[in-house]
Amino acid sequence: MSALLLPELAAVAALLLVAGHWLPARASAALCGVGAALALLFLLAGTTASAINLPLGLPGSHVVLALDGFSGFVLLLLFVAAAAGRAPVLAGALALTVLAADEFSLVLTLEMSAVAAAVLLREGGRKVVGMVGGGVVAGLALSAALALPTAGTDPSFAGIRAHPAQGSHATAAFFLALLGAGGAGGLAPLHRWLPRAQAAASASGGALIAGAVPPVAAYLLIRLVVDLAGPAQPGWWGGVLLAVGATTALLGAAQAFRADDIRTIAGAAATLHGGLVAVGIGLALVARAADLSDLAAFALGAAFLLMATQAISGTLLALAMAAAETGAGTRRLDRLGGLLRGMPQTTACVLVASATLATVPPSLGFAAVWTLFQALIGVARAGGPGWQAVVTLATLAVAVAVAVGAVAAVRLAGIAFLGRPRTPRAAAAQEPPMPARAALLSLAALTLALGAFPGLLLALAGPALRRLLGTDLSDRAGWLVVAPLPDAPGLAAAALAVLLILATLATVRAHKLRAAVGHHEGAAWEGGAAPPPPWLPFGDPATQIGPAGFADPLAGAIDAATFRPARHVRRPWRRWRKLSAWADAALRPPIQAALTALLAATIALLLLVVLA
Amino acid sequence: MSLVIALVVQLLHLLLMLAMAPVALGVSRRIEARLADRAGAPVMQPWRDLIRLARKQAAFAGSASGVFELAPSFAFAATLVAALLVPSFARGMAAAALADVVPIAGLLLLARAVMALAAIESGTALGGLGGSRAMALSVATEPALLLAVFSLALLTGTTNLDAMERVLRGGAVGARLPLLLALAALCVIAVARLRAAPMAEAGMAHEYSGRPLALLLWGAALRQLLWLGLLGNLLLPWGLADATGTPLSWLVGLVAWGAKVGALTVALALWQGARAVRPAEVFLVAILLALLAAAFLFASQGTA
Repeated sequence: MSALLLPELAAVAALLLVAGHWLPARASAALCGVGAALALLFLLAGTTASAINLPLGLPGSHVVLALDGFSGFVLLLLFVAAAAGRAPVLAGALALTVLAADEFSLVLTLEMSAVAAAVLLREGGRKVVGMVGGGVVAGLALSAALALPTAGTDPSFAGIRAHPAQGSHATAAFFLALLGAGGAGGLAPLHRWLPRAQAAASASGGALIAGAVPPVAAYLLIRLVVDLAGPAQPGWWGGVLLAVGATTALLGAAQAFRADDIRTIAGAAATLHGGLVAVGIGLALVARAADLSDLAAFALGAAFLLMATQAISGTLLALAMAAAETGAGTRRLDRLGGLLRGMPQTTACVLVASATLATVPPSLGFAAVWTLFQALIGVARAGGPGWQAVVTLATLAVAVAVAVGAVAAVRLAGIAFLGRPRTPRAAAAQEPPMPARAALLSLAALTLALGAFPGLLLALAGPALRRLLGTDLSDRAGWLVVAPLPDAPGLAAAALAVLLILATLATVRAHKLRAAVGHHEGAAWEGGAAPPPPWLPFGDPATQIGPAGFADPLAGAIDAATFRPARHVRRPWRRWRKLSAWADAALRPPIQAALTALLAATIALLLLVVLA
Repeated sequence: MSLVIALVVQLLHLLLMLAMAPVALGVSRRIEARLADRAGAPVMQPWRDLIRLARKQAAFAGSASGVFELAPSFAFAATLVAALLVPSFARGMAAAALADVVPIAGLLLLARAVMALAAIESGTALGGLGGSRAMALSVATEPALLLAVFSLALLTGTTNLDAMERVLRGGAVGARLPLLLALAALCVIAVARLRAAPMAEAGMAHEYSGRPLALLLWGAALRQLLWLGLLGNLLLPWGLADATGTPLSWLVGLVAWGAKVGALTVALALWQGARAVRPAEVFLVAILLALLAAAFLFASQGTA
């Protein structure tokens, strides 16, 4: 049964790749739906790993396509995202990348994906060259990482798995895999391309760049580093991934809360979640090196939940931003506002995606970050002293990134979709036509449902976890409760959702009791200010907070905490302007300086005490 | 049978929180006024304000949408669910299994984010400033809160409030330095929330009137009581009744809860130094304490 599904999935992917450009949008969406259904069937009907050899490729070698629980799970996410985002060629290329099971076909399909993504870019020239060039570099790095263990004698995954690399070869392969997959997925320091490509891509096709490319890149990283490298690898690989992931998450959050372009914000949100995925993979590696496969499965489960968040909620956010751009004619936050009136359904979808970005319960993003937090606690408890310091700092970075992500989510949804319109064009915004709107609404419904039942996703990820780590979460992740340990209290997201709905209904009911009290309407009070004159139909623009103003308190606090001179300090008549401004900022709050020194000393103490 | 009792206790807890939140607010305002040499309003004044507002017609701006009208109800509901999970006089309530500290913090963040969105929706200058300030303050306190919970979870082996309280009460952890530092971090966060948030909340509430405003004020009072209850459970984990015990033991638990919350209210009112809370400083102090807690914890190798 499940052996038959591999050719069918490969046929769907190949059809999308070859014919996707000419297929009508509904047909390619239906084809992606078929692909998702096949992947789901594979995950449900017992996941017997299968492989087929195709007589193609370089002389003396075959193209090997394979399907196991892990690639089935990623294909499910990919096809769900692809059914909503309209980029069938990229979707087909990415699906073949996930199916590829030897060095040659992996690199070939990765290059095809890079070209398919470059075609989606609206502006030609440097960006296209950069995208294709980046794909070539990533492909070369992955190719080298795969060729190192067997010295190229057996380029299929089965051959590499049978002879995993040892010692310095394995280390070199790890860093090459990190370069290739991390670059493709937008991990620091190669994180800049993703938001830029997202902003430069066409309105209809950019969603997959934010929603499907990062999970596939995470797939490649896990496949190479967790699966093909074998279990006998050092734990410090995980430490590298923790550092890279935490840095990426912080950079993504910082860009998301300050950017002025709504599509860049969607890309930066993908960067933030990509960093969290890398943290999850790193924790799994640390736990596996310490022979704690149950904990490793929990950490990898967190990474899978975050990948699902990217694929479903990330695609939703990117699609909604594309819809806002088309509907309101601009993607600059300071020219939007009040889109709720013209696009109520899109706004509802954006609020769902923002809840995930803000990690408030009971959203999908909250379930994923909660699982990651429990994995961080678990590794800190189990690891040696050195790991505890590293994991504590990673926890701090993850917590800061998530908190800043909440500000970014409120700023994006509030400034662009609520309040008064900032331009007449934004006031005349219109909903997208039906197929696109249906994609938005179904992704939003899926996000809500999976947020309430994250255990279902973890159950679907069970075959992948068994394949990679030999154990799964069936004793810890049930329908209703996900717990870090068997028989321990955990996260009951569905119960929280039910309580929240009941409390809201009760409050609204109580609110409406004695309806005689009623309400009346008038002009906004606005602290007693006079109502705006009639030639300002949307009120006075100067009295509404804008994107820069909303970010300002946090930006100012970050600048002060990092001793960057405040932006209003200007002394143009001094040549040592910069120095004096720096000293000004450093000396004026002496308490703060002392505190920061203490903070640095504590971090040093943390590192020294536990390492000694 | 025990489930029914647990549900009854849960309901009593809910009614207690709803009834006592404005009273606790009145007490803390009264103490503050006395410390400033003023007579101060009666303790029941917040309740009187709520009743007065509930009788008044609400005025909405003609441009306001359903988001603006529903936000107070939704924010209040999120606060209410969070308050439902923090035990007051008895442990082992019906929702004890849900009482994870991280979702409680998340529900409070949800209430804050919804109110910030509604403030932006009002399209007024003060509303927008209040929303932006509230979210900035959230970044100052949320990471430290998670880090303090991280240390507490390493000490007690769980993030569930009920289980955490059980471990702390059992004395297996004792009054150790990491525990004290983590709790100190929580206190700093609570003070920052309770002292600085009202300013931002006043900005966010400023377009509301009548019943929606009453809900906002009640929600703010509920959050203060929730924070005091949370600190009481972790700092002074004694005196809680078992949900399965007799009504007399519940009464004892009630008295213990009143004493704890009362003491914390007085301590909070006496904390004069935190008048002007700057987010960057709160962030540094709270993060510093939480990191020190983790450092000493690792140095003593005492993880659960």
